[in-house]
Amino acid sequence: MGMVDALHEAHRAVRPGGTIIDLRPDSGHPPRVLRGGRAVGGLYELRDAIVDNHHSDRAVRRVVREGLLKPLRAGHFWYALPEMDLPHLDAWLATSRRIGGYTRGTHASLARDPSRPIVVRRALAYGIYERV
Amino acid sequence: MSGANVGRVGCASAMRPADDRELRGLRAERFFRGRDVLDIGTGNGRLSWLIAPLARSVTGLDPDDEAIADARREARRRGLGNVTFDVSSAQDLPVGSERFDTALFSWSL
Repeated sequence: MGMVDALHEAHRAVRPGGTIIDLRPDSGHPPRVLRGGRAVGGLYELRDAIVDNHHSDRAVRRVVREGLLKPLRAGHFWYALPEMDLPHLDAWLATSRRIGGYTRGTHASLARDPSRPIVVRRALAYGIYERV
Repeated sequence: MSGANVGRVGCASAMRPADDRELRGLRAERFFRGRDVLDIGTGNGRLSWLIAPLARSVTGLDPDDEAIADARREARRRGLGNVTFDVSSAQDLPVGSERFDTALFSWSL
């Protein structure tokens, strides 16, 4: 209920005809790992993060069904994180509550030359809604 | 990893860009320009600072008081007069009804 409550609160705070925007990591498009402009592998998201995302999706659908929000536009886009080396990426993943680790073979590929810059590309999903 | 923001409140795993790539990707400038904007889950205010030059006002809310303290310090450093930050959960917003033109859930839903 927490997510639905949050949407109800946002609906209350926004004027009729206003806009509510939902922007969050896109579980449908897991992060990609590139080096030298070439895809090396990927990262996988933890099950809890994926489940949370599904709950958020359901909450939005429910509030739309309630007639409080009208979908205007939705989609996803990719952005690149700042370049980092393998120790930094390892350190980030060790503290991540959302990303579980490397997909098969990715770390082995990166470890062959750990000091070369790595770029992680992440997808963000968005939904833009009119406040009814 | 300079420029990245690791360990953001409410999404501690998040590594987010320090520039406006998220806002550009969203292609939603018209929903911020000249508007009163509510940034729900603002964390350290990163998106609020980017929206502030466009908006009439920005109110950033986050349950983490340390992140909000950081956001306030940074807003002062940047000399942003149209941004305010407050500690709040998304389920109980300390704002008036129909007060804003746009609400943004930034990685917080």
